Amino acid sequence: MDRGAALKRAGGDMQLLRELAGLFLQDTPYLVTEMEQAVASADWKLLERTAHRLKGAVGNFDAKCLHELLAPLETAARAEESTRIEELFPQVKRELSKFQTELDGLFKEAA
Amino acid sequence: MKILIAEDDSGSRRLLEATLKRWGYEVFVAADGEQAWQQLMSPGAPPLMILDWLMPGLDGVEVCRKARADKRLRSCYIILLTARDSKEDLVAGLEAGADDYVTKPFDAQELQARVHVGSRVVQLQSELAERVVELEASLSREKHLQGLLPICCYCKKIRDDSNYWHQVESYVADHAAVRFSHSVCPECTDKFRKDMGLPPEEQNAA
Repeated sequence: MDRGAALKRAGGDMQLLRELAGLFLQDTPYLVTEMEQAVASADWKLLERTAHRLKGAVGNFDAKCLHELLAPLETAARAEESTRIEELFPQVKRELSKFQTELDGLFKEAA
Repeated sequence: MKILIAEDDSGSRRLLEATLKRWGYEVFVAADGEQAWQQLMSPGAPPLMILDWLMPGLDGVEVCRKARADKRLRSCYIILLTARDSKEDLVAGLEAGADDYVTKPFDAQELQARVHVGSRVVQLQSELAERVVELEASLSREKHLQGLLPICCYCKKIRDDSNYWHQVESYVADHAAVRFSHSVCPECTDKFRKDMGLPPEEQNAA
């Protein structure tokens, strides 16, 4: 995550950015779980929906790297391209984990 | 100006709310289409709104359609905000009644400019509506002699909208910007003179 870009998106308001980080950490873990379930059960419609929603959520932090993984994952799910999905999904998981750690750090920083 | 936002993702919702507040708008927040609709149905509903397309239950496009079908909300300004960016989606959104369409993640400057357009349109419509109210009031104050008037064949009294019969003189005076100057026509003059046993009036020499 590019912290400068994320802060710019939040209008330079560090408190707001911290609040957004908190909301993401609170409200998106279930999406990650759903995504894993979708891949495990080859439910491509569910995968498309969750990838789309996560893509929207990370967009609030200008997280280009994740956006560039989630967008093709969403497309692959829509096209039911299981090979492409198998390729992308581990990368998405890795990046999401890193992202969550970064946000966690940001959220816990003293005001 | 009041603006309503409907967005089901908590972070996106908070970011949009904070951004619009920073731009000086009074923000009303809805977490889904149903909440948005409830707010629109309440008195003092915002004339301007940003609706996320994909929401559980009532989605943005459905709220849009419902608003356009409602007499009170027909003229509100609707911006659809969505990650769906194909040409088909754009057309579908606008056909459903949205005034504008912004793709996510939004560019702040672009969104600000488009919301400003919306607020200008709302302002203009509000001024026009006020003018119409003024004109209607003035029209009803003015006197009009028009339409089909029930008139008595014998005494020529006229019946008004409340079923009262009025002398022609008083009816016309109430419904037209006229005044009467009273005199006697030649036929009535002759009749009067006859009734009084007077000889007919001398015709003026040609």
